[in-house]
Amino acid sequence: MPIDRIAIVGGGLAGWMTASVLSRVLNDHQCRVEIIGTGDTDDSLGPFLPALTTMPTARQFHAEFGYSEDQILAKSNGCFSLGSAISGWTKSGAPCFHPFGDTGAALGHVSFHQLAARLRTEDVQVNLPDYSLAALCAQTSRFARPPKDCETVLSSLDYGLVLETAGYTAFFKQDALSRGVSEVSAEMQNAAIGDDGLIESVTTVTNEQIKADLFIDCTGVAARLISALPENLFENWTHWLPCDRISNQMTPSAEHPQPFAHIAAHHTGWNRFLTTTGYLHDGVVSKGSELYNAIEFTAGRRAVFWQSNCVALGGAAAVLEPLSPLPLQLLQNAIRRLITLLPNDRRAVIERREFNRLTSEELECARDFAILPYKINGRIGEVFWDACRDMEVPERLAHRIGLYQSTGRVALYDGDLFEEADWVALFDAQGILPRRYDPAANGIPLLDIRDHFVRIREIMIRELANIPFHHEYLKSVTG
Amino acid sequence: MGTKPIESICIVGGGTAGWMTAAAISKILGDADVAIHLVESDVIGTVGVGEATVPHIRLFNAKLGINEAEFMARTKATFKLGIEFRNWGRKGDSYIHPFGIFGAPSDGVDFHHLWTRMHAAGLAEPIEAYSLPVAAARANRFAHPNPNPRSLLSTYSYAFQFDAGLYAAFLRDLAESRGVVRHEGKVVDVTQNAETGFVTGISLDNGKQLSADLFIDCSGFRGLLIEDTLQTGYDDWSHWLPCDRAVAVPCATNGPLTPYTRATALDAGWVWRIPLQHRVGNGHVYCSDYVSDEDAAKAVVEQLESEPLVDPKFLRFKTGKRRKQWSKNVVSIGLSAGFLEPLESTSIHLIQLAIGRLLDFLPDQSWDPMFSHEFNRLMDLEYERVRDFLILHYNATERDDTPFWNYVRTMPIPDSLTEKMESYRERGVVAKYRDGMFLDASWIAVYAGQNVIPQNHDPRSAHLNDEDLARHLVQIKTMCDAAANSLPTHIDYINHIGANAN
Repeated sequence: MPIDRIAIVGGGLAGWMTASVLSRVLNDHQCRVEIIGTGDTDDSLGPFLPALTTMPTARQFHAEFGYSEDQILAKSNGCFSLGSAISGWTKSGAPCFHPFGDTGAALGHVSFHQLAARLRTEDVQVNLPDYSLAALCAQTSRFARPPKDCETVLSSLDYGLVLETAGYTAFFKQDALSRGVSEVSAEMQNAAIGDDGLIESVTTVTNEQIKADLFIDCTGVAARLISALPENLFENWTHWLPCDRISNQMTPSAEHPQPFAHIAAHHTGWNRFLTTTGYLHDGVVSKGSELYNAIEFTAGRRAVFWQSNCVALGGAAAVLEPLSPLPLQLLQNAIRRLITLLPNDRRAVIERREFNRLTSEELECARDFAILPYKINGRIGEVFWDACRDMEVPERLAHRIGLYQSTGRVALYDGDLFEEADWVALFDAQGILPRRYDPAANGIPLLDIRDHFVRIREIMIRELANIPFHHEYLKSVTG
Repeated sequence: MGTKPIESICIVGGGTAGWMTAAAISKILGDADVAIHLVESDVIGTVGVGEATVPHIRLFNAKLGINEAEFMARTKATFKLGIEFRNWGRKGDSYIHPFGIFGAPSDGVDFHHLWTRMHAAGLAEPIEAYSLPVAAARANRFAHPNPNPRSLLSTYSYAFQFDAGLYAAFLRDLAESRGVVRHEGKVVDVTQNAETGFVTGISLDNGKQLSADLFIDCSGFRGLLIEDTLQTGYDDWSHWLPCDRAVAVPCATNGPLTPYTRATALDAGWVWRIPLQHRVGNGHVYCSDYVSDEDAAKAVVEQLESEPLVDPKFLRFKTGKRRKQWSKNVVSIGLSAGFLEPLESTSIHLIQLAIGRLLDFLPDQSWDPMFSHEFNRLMDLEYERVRDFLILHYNATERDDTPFWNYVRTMPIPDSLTEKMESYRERGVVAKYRDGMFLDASWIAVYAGQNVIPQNHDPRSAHLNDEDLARHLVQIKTMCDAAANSLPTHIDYINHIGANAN
C-alpha cells in the first residue's frame, strides 16, 4: 500500500524544514503532508537557542532542494561564518582559530600539517590557521563567496552561516505552507497504535484526529510520539558529554555582525558567542552550576530512530552539544536520508533498517567529534576538566586519539561528517602534538618546505586585499 | 621527531607486488635515508599473466611520474572501459560493468530508479544502453575522457590491460634507478629475535645474508615470512568463493582489439579474456570439487579464438585473507596477504592500497602498535568489501544447470551482503560506505546485469509520466551512441598516441 499521508508532529525548525523539503520533493496530489504544531518554544533540535551556526555542508543541503541562500540570510538576519575562534581549552588558554576550508596546501605527497610538524621539529613556530584564508578573512572581517573554479586561492575558502532560529524556521514554514502543507495548530494529545504496532493516528488537544501512513516525530527532546512506542529507550551519554544546563542571552547591538563564532571554555563548560544583524548572542553550557534562566538537558540518543511507521528527527532522535552546529547538520542529513529512503508501504522494513544503520553510524561519529575537545582539554587542576581528561571514551575515539598521537593521521569511519583536516585542526588547536610526522616529509629538502610556507602566506595576504569587508558583502547579497 | 626512523627495508619477492612496492617506496620516500633491498629468484616463476586493472592504477602511475604512452608500449597495454560478463545471471546473458555511471538523474531521482520503473513497464532497454563507456566498448572504440566536465565524453573513466611480467620489469627499472638493490637468490633461512619474534634477517641459497628493520612479504601465495615464519593464520573464505584453481593459456588475437575484459561463466567457474596488444590472455578459474584439471584445461582451450601459444599453466589458491596482513615487522602485500579471484580485476588495486597505507603508516623504531593496528583495520575492510562484491556475482544468478551453480546460488552468504541485496531488491537502495572501492554504479551494473530488479521504485518518481520518462531515456541512449561513435577505434587510438609496442 503506498504512502499517501505523512504527518509531522512538532512545528519547530525540524518540523517545518522537513515539511518544506517533503513538499518540494513529493508532488502534492501524490502525498499529503500535514504538520501538527506543539507549544510555543521550539526545542525541536534540542534546547531552544535563538541563533545557530551551520557547517559548510548546509549549503549543499540548501542548493540540493532549491533554497536561496540569500533569502535565508535576509529572512533570518544572518551572516556568513568562516569558522570558530576558540579559547580557554589549553593550559595557556591561548586563542586559536578553527577555520572552514583548506589550510595550506600539500607539497608533493605530503599533507600540509605533516610538513608543519617537520618544521616544528626544527624549532620553527607554525600556527596552522596562519595558512588558512578563512582565518585571515575572519581576523580582518572580510568575506566573499569562493568561486566555483579551483584556479585561485579564493577557492580554498569555505563557509557556513550564522542564522536566527526564528527567521530560519519562518523561511521553511512559509515555503511549506505555500506548497500545500496543511497545519493543525494544536498540540498532540495521544497516539492510537494498531494491533500491528503501527501508529494509526494522533489526536490533538482540540480533539482532532489525524490519520497518516508515516509519522515524523519532530517534537524535540520530549520525543512525544516515538517514546510512546514500546521499548523505545533513550541512551544517556552524559558520562561522555557532561554538560547538562544551557542558557542564552540575546543583547541588541549596532555593530556589524562578525563572520565567525567564538567558542570559549569556562571552568565547568563553555560559551559560544555569535553575532547576527542587530544582536549579540551569548550561549553557555555547563555542568550543574547555577546559570541564569538555565534549561536542563541530557545528552544522548534514542536506541532506534525509525520504529514502526514513526521516524524521529532532530532532538527527538538525539540531543548532542546544543551550541555546536552538529544538531542542525545531523537533522539535514537525516532529512536527506529519509527522502532517499521514502518507503512504498507503511511497514518499510528495509528502509527502516538502512535508515537506522546509517543514522546510528553517523551519530556515533558526530558524538565522538563532540567528545574530543573535552577529552583532550588542557585545563589541568580544575575538577570538571580533570574528570573530562580522565574519562573513558568510546573505543573508536580512543583509537582515533591514539593513532593521531602516534602518527599525525586520522582514522576515518563510514559515518564521519568531518574530514581529516577538521580533526587535525581540533587536535592541533588543543595542543596535541603527534610523536612523529610523515616520514615522506624527510624526502623534501627543508628549504623547499620553508619556501612553500612563505609562498602560501604571501599569496593569501595578497589576495586578502581584494576581498570585500564582510558587512558590505552581506549587504550586497541580502539587500 | 622523538622516534628513530627505520633505516632499511627488505622486500622478499619480485613480481608485480614486489616491484610495485619497491618503485613506490623509493619514489615517495625520495631523499629520506632508507636502504631498500629486494630479493627475488629467477628460478621461481611469478603468477603474473595478462592483468586487467581498475582506474586507480592511473593514480599510482602518476605518482611514480610514469608517462602513459611509454608505459603502455613497454607493457603492451590496451585500454579498458569495463568488464563484459557472459552467462552469469542466466546462460546467454551478457552485460558490461563499465567505469562510468548510467544515465542521468531526473528531478533529483537517481537514474536507476527511473530505469527500474520503465523496465517494469516494458519501456526500457537493458540499463547498459544508457552508458557511454558501454556503447564505446561494444563498438571497440576509445579515446581519453574529455577534460571539460560539461561534455558527455567526460563522464567515464578507464584502466589498462597489460602484461604483468612486463609491468614488473618496467617498475624494476624505475626502482633500480632510484637506488633499490636487487639480490638474486632463494630464501633458505629466516632468523628472528628470540624475545620479540621480529624477523631480523634472511639467508639466501647463494650464502648471502640480509638484515633489515622492516620486511615486506611479496612472496606470493606461500607467505614465506608472514605465514611460514610468523604463522599469522588465514581466514578461509572458500565456502563463499569456492573456486580454488586456475589454468592460464595465451593465444593470438583474432578479431578487433577490444577495450574491455571479458569474464564468461562456465559450468564450474569462469574464463577470463584479457586483450593485450600482442596477444590475448585467457584463463579458467574453477572449483576442483566440480571439474578435473584436465577438463578445466579443455574447457578453456575449446573456447579460444585461436591456437594456444604455449601449454596451459596451472595455479592453485585458497580464497581468503591473512588474519593480520601486518604482523610484527612483516607487512604482506599481494598474494601473501590474501587471495580474491580476479573477477573484478582487484588484485593490483589491493596491492596499490596496501602500499599506500604502508607509506601512510610507515613504522619507525618505536614499533608503535598503532601503525599495524590501523593498517590491518583498513585492509580488512577493503578485502571484505571486495569479497562481498565478488560473492554477489555468483549468488545473484538463476542458473541451476550444474551442481556448481546450484551451490553458489543457494549457499549462505555474509550478513553484510544479505542486507545489501535485500535493500536493493526491495526498492533499489544501494548501501553507502566511505571505504570500499566499488561505488553505487558498480553495484547497479551487476544487479541489473544479473536480473536483480527492485520490486518497488523510488516513490519520488511516481509523478513523472511514462511518456516524459521514455523521452528522457531515448535521449540519453541517442546521446551515448552518438558520442561513442564519434570516438576512434581502440587500435587506431593506441597508434595515434604512440602507445604501440611495435
